[in-house]
Amino acid sequence: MNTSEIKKPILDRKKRILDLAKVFFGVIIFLTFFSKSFYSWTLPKVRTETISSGSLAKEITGNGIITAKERIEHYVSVRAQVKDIRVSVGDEVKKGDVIMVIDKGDLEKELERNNIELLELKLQYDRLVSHRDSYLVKDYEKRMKELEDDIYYKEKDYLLYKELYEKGLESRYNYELKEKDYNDVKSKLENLKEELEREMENSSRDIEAAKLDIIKKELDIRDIEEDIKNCIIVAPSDGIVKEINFKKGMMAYDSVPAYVMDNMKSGFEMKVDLNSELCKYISLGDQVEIRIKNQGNKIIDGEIKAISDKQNDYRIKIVTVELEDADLSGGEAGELYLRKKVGSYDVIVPRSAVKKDSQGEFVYVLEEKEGPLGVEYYVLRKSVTIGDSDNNYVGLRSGLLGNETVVVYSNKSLDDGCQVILEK
Amino acid sequence: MKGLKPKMTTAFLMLMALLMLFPLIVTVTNSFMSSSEIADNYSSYDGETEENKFFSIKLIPRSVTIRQYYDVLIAKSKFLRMFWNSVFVVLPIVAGQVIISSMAAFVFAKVKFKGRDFLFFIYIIIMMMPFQVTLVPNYITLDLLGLIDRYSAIIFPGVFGAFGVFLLRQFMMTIPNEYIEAARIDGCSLMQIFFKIVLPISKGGIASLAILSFIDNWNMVEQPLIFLKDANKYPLSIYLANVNKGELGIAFAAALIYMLPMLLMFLYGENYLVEGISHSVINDKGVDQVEHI
Repeated sequence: MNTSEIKKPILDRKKRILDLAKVFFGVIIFLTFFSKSFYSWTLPKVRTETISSGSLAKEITGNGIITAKERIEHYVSVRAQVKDIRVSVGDEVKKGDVIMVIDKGDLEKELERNNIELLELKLQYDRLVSHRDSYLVKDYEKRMKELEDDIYYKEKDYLLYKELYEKGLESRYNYELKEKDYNDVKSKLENLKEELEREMENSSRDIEAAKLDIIKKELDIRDIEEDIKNCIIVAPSDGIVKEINFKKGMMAYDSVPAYVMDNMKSGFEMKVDLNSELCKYISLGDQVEIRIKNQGNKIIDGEIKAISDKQNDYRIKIVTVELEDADLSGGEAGELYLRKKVGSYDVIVPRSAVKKDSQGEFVYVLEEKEGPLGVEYYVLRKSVTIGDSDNNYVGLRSGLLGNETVVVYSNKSLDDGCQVILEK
Repeated sequence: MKGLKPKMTTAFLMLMALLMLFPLIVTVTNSFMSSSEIADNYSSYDGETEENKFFSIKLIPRSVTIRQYYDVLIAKSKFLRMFWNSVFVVLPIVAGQVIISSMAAFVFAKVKFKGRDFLFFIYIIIMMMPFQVTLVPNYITLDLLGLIDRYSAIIFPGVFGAFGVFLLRQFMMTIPNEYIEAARIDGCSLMQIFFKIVLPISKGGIASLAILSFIDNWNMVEQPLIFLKDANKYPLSIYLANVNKGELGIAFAAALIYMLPMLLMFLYGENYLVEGISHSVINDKGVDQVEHI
């Protein structure tokens, strides 16, 4: 066996090891070469923005429908047939124009019947008065006169028997008999007087009740007369008809308004639902712009007149804007726009840059590092204290120096110190 | 009975070999486990408390996965960068050390000059000193040179390491002086003797130095930790220390890939290593063979 034969297995082994090393380094070089590509699949892709100083202006927008300040809703009080409707929805009407005519036939009949009933009540009243004056009083007076005459004679007898008895000329029995007769007739007179008083009271009560019935009936008649008068429904002011809820021939009822109209002379307003947070920046009297979408985006001025709570929703407030333009008819869709300066800050960042977790608000700041494989980017979590904000930016009170670059968008969730790639 | 003793010896040695190889086997098999399985297996061990001191090591994965390798090589950008950090640090050190040490060793072995032995004695002392002893002066020197947080802060002290000089000097001492004398008679200059005679003969020693130096520097932890501030410049050895803390799930795959270059290097240069070390024994004969040039 010569030297080359001894060395052959060693050389073969070395070759294999060398091949393995080549494969190993080849794989590592391949992976390194494609590492950036792999990272771009695996690392979060972020979009950044350089922070700046500046002032924040809150832009408040909201939508609403323009309506007249005064809206008239007319309810029909009678249940009668609608005879005629003279206007249509959208018609402009003048004060006094007939809008609707209700059939008054039934009402007129009812009025007649009530008039007859009133007459009957009056007659009944007269009868009661005359009964009291001409019969009751006279009857009792006559009976009392008779009793008084009787008392006169009975008293005389009694006094005579009393004198005789005292002189002993008459018996005690006869004297007491005369005294009893005299007292009986006196009590009869008293009873009669009381009875007269009672009868007079009863009679007066009946007369009062009859009088009240008459007044009631008179009121009913007046109501019917009023209803008859209201059968012709006229516009109470100049305006535009917004709703007609009845049709010709149907029975009118009082659960819905017969018509709804906007009073043109009262002016116009717009009610806008706004987030309660935004309402902190609004004050009464603020001048706003209203863009009217269905009038070619015409812009008119308005003034905030009221800010009220919305029922059952504490997050929303209703802002009422008074509009100045007269060339409106109500029903237009309006968009409110108000821009209000809320403060100047040394550092303002885009809203999307500010995140929040259990430890408070923070931003991710981009850090650039020169690595052995080129420039690499990392994000660092920086806690911040936020101030005011507008639609696009948030003012920071502390946390950043002012020369950082913040992450405004990321396609994956980020962690403090994690590597990222920049979106081109 | 005659053949029993060698068999028993073989069995004992195999057992010992298995014992030595066990961590390596664990690393290889565990590298194919999923992160959750690893977390389950080692969750009771926190390395500090006396409770749960023992835990069972599992060799067979519940379900074999290469997720760890995917995480290490593709998903985590750090690993590859640190791998190249290691390469960029270790290769200059090995190359520099080979050049510097071979030249210095040649002078110490074959050139006689005043104070040579004393200088070599200092070299030996420096070699014997652990890194921690020279740490502060090293740091101050590097700071004054403005090399802190640069790779050169690790490369330069590595290049001028004393061990390489010692190893090669011992190796070169075994080269017979007759070779050098013959070369001189043929008219070779000192540089020619070095490059044409001494260096080819010392190939084994140089290879063993390269392997030892590579392994030593591939594993270094203290120097980069102290001299480098930017974590992005850290070599793989530090990544492996950190990866054990938080991400146990990828530790095994990272460890396996980490040791592969060393393993390949060792296997490739195994016979050089043995040759280099066995030739470098200190003997009086070698010292006597100093050529007076």
